[in-house]
Amino acid sequence: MNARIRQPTVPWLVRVAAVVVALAVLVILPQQSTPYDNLQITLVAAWAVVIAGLNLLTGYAGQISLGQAAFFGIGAYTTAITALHGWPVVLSFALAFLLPATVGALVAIPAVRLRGHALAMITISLPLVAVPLAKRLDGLTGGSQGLTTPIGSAPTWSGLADDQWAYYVVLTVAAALLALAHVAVRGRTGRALSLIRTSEVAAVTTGIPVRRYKMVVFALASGYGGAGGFLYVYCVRFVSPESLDFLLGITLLCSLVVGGLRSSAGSVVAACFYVYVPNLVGDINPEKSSLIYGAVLLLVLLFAPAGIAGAARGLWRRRKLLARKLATSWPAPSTPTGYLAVAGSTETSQEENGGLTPTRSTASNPSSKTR
Amino acid sequence: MGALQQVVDGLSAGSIYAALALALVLVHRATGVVNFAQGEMGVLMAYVAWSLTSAGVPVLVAVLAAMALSFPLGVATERFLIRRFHGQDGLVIVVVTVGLLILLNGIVGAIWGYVSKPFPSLFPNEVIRLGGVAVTVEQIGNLVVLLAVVAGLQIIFLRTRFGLSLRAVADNRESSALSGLAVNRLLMAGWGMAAALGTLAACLIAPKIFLDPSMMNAVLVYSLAAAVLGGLDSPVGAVVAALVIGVAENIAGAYIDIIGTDLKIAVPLLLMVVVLLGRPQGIFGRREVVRV
Amino acid sequence: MASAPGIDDKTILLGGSFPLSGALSANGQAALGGIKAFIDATNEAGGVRMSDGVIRRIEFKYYDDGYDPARVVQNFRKLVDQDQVFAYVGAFGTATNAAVMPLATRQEIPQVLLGTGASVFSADQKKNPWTIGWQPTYEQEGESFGKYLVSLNRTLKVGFLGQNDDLGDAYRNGLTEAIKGSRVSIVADVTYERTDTSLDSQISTLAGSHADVLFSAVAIPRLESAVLARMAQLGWAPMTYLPIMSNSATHVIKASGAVSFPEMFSGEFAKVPDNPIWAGDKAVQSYLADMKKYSPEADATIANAVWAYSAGDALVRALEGMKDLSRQDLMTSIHALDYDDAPMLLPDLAVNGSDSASPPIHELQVEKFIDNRWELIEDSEKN
Repeated sequence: MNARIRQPTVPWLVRVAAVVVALAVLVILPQQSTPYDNLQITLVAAWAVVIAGLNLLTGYAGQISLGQAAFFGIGAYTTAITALHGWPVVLSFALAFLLPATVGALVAIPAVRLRGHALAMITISLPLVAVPLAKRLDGLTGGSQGLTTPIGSAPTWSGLADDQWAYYVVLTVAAALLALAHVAVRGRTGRALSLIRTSEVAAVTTGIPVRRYKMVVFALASGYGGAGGFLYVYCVRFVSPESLDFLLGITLLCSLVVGGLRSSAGSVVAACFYVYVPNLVGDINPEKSSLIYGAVLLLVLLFAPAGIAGAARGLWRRRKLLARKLATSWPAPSTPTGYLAVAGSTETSQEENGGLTPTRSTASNPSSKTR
Repeated sequence: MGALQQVVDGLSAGSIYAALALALVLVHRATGVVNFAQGEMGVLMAYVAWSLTSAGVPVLVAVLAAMALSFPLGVATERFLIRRFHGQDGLVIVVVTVGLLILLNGIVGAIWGYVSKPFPSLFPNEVIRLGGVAVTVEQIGNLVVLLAVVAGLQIIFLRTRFGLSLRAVADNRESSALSGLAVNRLLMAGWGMAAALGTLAACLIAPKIFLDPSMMNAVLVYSLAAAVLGGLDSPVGAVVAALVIGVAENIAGAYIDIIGTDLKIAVPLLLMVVVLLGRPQGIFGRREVVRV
Repeated sequence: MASAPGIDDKTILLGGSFPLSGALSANGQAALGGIKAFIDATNEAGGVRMSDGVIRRIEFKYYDDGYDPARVVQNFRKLVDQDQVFAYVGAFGTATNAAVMPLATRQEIPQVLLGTGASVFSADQKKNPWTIGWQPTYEQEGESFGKYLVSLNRTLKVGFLGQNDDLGDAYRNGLTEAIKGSRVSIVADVTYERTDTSLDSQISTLAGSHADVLFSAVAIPRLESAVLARMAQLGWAPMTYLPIMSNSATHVIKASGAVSFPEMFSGEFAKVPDNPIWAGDKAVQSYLADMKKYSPEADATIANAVWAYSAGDALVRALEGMKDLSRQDLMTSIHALDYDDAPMLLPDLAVNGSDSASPPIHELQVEKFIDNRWELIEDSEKN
């Protein structure tokens, strides 16, 4: 069980419970909220997929990439163009994943030989070439006016409004993709990637096929970028060269770091940051939005250099330590089995306190009274 | 005149990219960080220089004053921002500099507005015609200043104790500290020098592309390409690469139909990919030693 | 009378989205400032008297989109679903308005008097009945100068410089259409990218083509200044056309710092406040006063502000002309606009919303730069 080898983090049952509750809320939510809120949450889901792809490549494998915007763009344009020609939506999705994944694999052939700044520069050049290319192929892409595409309308049998339909479809697909990415980096693969990240030489000497791993991760990350592009077009129904600007690639990387590297929850937090913060900032003072946005970005990193998800994890750990300190004033057995027992018996209702070790120490926590 | 004029235009564009590339190299060489905000710090101080010239201060004095003021700005950036992230993932520091870029862009916009402003040139507005080719005094002047800066940097890095210490600190901070170098001061000095150089770059570029809060964004891409292509720790490499990039993209854009002026940006990037595959450390860079 | 969302007995709530951050923020701020100034001045003067006899104030909500289509779509949803605006008015930008158009069509929200010269917003009003532009299209502008060149009745070789996208294409198409079958021909055609730092290479190529005319459709004032400076350095001085968005005497021509200028032409439909020929004009004076009072943060000499200000006037006229208070009625009222006394538009220039394939303003006059100012070329001079 490699979970034991890693630092003790938030117990898995707590996480599962949190995910279940979050899912329940997310399922009910669109019935209650405005189409605007639904759109924003849908966009968060779409960008979470794009960022999760980047997280695989940059977070887990340590290959810095500023080019995710280009793969997002290929996926988005593929979706828009195929939908315009009336192709089935499943085919659009498959192509929006496979085409960027293929391009990603091709780019990876030279890119896997490089690291650090050299790799960053090669990846930054992808959106720089993609934008004029998208404009030049205006017969296909609609030039700089972009493409409006008929996708994402709710079928009549569903009885849903368009925004609710898009919400459910995008969130379902995104949840599946995020879960897949989450599973992909567990176990052997995760250990191999982390060795490649920290020391490629060590990885080679332990017999890990480094280049093959990097190529697969590159292709997968690009495919996720494209799939995110599909989800984006599914709810926005529009794509233009502005949506794959090279600044986007940089902003995505910023969001990933702010959300938290090497964390699935971090990708979702990053997507929230990407979607919500510019809007919030725009509400405060639209004329000074880049000033405030930059300041927020720096402040978050100053106080949480490991990202918001990282900080939350750290906080959780500290809390546990704190609880332990309290607990040691009583002569209570403090074994791992103890907390498993507590967590196991509480099922989902006690996810907040499931991680606290001895039963007696939970009494010191006021929120446990809710039981 | 055609082709030769394109070469001259390319060299002129290249010297613009080179100026910022030099500042990037300086920060990297001194502190091992690629500073995405380097250009924007220069923009801020170029606006300060602009305000001084509008108040009647001669251009040369204004630019020198702005450069002098840049030094403490660079020092403060290192001391109060970058140093807090020492020991973090290199990626985090990159993102911090991007955040700084966005913040400074907003500050410049809030103070001076988003309308682009003309910036007086350090050089007389005169044209020298050689055959059918037009060369401006400004183009020559920019190139001369650049070469002087490169020469100066080479001397500092290779011939002075200070330069040696800077390189040592960038290479291995901990060992440098153990061997008694004042690491923190050296780091601040590196950032201060780079900031002054970035301001010089912005002031040299501004008469050509006009003062604008986002004026350095496009330049940054080319300069990064030049710095990486030349080798991130070689001032000479950065300048040579920048000039090659400038000329190559103009010639290709003008004479290779399928590329055209819209896709000419692909040329330096392609060039970079080809070179990096052969020499990942850049043309003039030192090979990175991988420790296990 | 049953009314649509956004209208009550005291106010009409309208909204728009503008790039207030990023590279286009100067233009976005000017466009916002222009329409806001007219609306605030109208409110100050009492408000809008509508057909039901009630006088209402206009409340204008706006958000920053940073010229990002995804954000503009969110802004539109927010304005329509959350703020419940009556109509989406005066929004700036081509790609951003294109992203919103299908939503406006589907949700039946007026998306009107837009700050863009792209023809797509007015060209097909059957397909997009809820959208209409404001200013002349780029095609119409290219065509108007093409016609002028043809009217000179000379053999002319034209070099064309345009942005690598449909903005550049629109100018090229308009020009090509107008010179078809005449003695005027395009001999060189070069494009640039919005992100280019310098157009030196392009100008060298064009100068090498020995064109008599340069149609310099450079949409970014800063780059157009650089073009003029470079032409002076090369000593190349063909007849030069500056497009309407880069023809500012202050921000483009003077800013270029060039020591000599070619013979320069442009197109115009509005009174630009930094042109001394309008110095005594009443409309210009009250425009400048309104801008200073209500939108001091915007630069009143940027043309987008002037255009948006006159769009604000059209908006008020359209609101006054409404019969009932439905959104459909606003569209009908805009299509019924027909007047030639708009403030800040050239004398006798017609505003007419009835053309089903054209924005309300669809004519321009050619002007020439003489003695440091733009002078309209009278029809009599053309021959």
